[in-house]
Amino acid sequence: MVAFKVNDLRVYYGEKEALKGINLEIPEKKITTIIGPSGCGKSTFIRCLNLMIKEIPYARTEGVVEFDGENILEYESEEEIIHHRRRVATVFQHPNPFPWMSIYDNVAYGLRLMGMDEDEIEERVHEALEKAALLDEVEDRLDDPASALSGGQQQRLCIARALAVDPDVLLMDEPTSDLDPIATRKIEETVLELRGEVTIVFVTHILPQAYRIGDYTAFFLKGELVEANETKELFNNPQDERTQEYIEVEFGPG
Amino acid sequence: MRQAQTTRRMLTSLTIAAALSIAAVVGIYFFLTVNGVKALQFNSLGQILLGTTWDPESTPPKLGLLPMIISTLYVTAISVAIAFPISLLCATYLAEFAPTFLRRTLRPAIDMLAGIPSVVYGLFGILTLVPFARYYLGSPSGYSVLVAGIIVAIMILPYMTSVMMEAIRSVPREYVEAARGMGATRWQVVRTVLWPAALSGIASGGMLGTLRAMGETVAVALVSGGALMIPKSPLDPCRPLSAHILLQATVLPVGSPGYYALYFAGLILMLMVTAVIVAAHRVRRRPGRPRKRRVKGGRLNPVLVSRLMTGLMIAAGVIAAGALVGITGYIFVNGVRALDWNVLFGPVHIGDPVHSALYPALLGTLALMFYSTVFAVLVGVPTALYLAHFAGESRFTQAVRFAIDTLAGVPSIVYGLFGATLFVVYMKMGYSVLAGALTLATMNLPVVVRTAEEAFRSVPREYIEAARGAGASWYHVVKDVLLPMAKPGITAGITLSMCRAAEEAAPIILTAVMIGLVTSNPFVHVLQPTDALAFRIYLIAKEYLMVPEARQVAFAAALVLVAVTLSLNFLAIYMRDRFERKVGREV
Repeated sequence: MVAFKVNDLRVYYGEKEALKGINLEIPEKKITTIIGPSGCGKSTFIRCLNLMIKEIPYARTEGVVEFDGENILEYESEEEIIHHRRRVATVFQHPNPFPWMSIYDNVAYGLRLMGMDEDEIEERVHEALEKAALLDEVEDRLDDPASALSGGQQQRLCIARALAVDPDVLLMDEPTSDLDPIATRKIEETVLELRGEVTIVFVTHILPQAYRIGDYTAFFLKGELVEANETKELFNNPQDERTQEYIEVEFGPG
Repeated sequence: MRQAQTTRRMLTSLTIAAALSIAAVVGIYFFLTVNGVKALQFNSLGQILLGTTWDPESTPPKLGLLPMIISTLYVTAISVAIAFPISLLCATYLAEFAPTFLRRTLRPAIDMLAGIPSVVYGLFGILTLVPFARYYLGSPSGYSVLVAGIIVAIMILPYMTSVMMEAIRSVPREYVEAARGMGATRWQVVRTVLWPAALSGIASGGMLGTLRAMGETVAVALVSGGALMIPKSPLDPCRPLSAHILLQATVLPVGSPGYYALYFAGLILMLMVTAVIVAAHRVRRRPGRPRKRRVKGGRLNPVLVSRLMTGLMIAAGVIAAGALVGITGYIFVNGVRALDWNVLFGPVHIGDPVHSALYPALLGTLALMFYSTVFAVLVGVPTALYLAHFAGESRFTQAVRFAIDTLAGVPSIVYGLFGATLFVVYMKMGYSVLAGALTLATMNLPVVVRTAEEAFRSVPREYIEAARGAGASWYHVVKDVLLPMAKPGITAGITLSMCRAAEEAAPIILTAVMIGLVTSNPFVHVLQPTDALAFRIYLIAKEYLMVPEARQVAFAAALVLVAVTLSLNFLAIYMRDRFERKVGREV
């Protein structure tokens, strides 16, 4: 099953073409990793998947991003956009829990936006923290400010916040690049636990990471999709020489 | 060795300047307390605070201040209740929703409007809102709590909006993105992210506005009616503490029971100001789980609510802009119509503010601006330099800082009272340019110190280190790096101080001007009283409006005054932007 079907997607920032005709299918309930050097369009691409691209006034899109049978790029009304974003949650590069809210309130945030009943929210908050592998660490201090957590915990709190609304897709934009190796490993384990439950699109510039957690991998370069394949296949047997070169340089010999 | 000596001498002067600003604060508090407490010799504390009769000349004197206290609270409450929500919505719209070009134009425009003198607002109120309240709202005289509240609300709007906008603008984008990414509507972003994250900035905007509303004197004295009664409805006339001090200080003999009671009124005002400051500092959101409750409006369509609230924000913007454009336009149109050669440079008639030409008033205003700024800069800039680069965390430094913060919260009328006793009476300057300038300088000291300190502080450390590394003494660092780099910032502070010296009528009415015009050159005869534009407008609006040509002269004077303050303000804003660009900060 396919979650997103992307067809000839082009994005322009003013005059500059940031994505030059992307064609890609993102399979459902698998982990798709997106790799490439900075400035290659990875972030722009996932901004298209949850329509955050529409928050940038000077950005313009062309092409089709099909989700659930509809081209989401055609969504213009706030209703449609918001409805879509509740199904496609995002975790950003820099951990950004709201520091003026408690741990609990952070996770409850999206549910409260939807106007959910507080009793149900309590249940969902615990579930989400559990899924994000954070519950054990914070269970007895849910009312503490989110800013009291460590960087890795904050990022897992953001994952919990995103999962609480029970999304179909979880977009992760270099979620470990601000974290130390141990915290990074923890996030990776959390992500692997979620495989099979939710579609994950994981952007990273760390190739071993993409290799470790990916089912499928797409390689972006200068706004183009160079190659996409099953992860093992792409790394061990790249079809395009640009992919091969990038993997050799970044992965190092062996 | 010579360099080390110069440096030592420089440091000594800086410290002396900093000590002077402490002296100013201690002086103000000393005078307020010593003189205020003397009122207790004539009436008990209860009689003063709860008494409703003000008759300082009877025996025994009746010094009841309750009507004034209630009036101050009433007017402040109405003005803040009007201005706070409008400012907040306006600021939110400008910070988050408005297209960039609109924000770029409106931000300086708002800052400019903050420079319209309060006496001009008073004149506008007397000629428009007062008759409106009389004919259409059934207020007995039109002079009322309501009109005072509305006028003050319009005055504090730009201040509040400006501070709140900065606070909302500085909320990190990542939080907005997180909320938008989770499907929050624009209004939900405002309610759940922008306002909570900018809470302390919003509170300090509200505090600044409230402080101004409490201390506002001249405009309120003009439109409140000055009645010595407890207002029972918003349509009744009233007399807030500040207006009471202004109206009585020029009438009561120095050293009389009533005079001391005015100091007591000043003390009460200071106490209220301190209470507001403390309250605003307490505002900080504590994270914690809110009580279990259904989220309000959970059943309403959030997108619809968002659209409604955006509409409301635009409406608030239109109301605020309308009020401010209305006032400026009113003064401009009437002023241009009134202005002619004769009004400006015609004959001078001593004792006749209506038929006498305006140029002595303009000269007087310029002289007061000039001398007060010279004094404020002489003390303020060295103090700022001291605080920015030479102060350790000693007791002395803390005292200086506390002194500056306290001075910034003192209402202008209290400075007037202080100057009237210290400079006019004790130092025997009489009503004079010098006494007025010294009073204004004390008032402007915090403005100069704060702007200059910020300017000195934002000089990048690497330049200082480069100079030090090349073997420059601190004296040379100051002369060759700090002063030149901070010049635009300091100039902005100087212009702001000049602007305030031109627009404040209350302090000079108590220290520098006399009823009846004096024609001596105010730049030379600094020990003579002088005329001033703000004073002339106040006097005409208060006493002479039934004289046929009075309005024309008042409008002309208002236009000249607004031209002076707005161009100074424009200069200050221009300098600030240039400075921010120079130190590489985003405008």
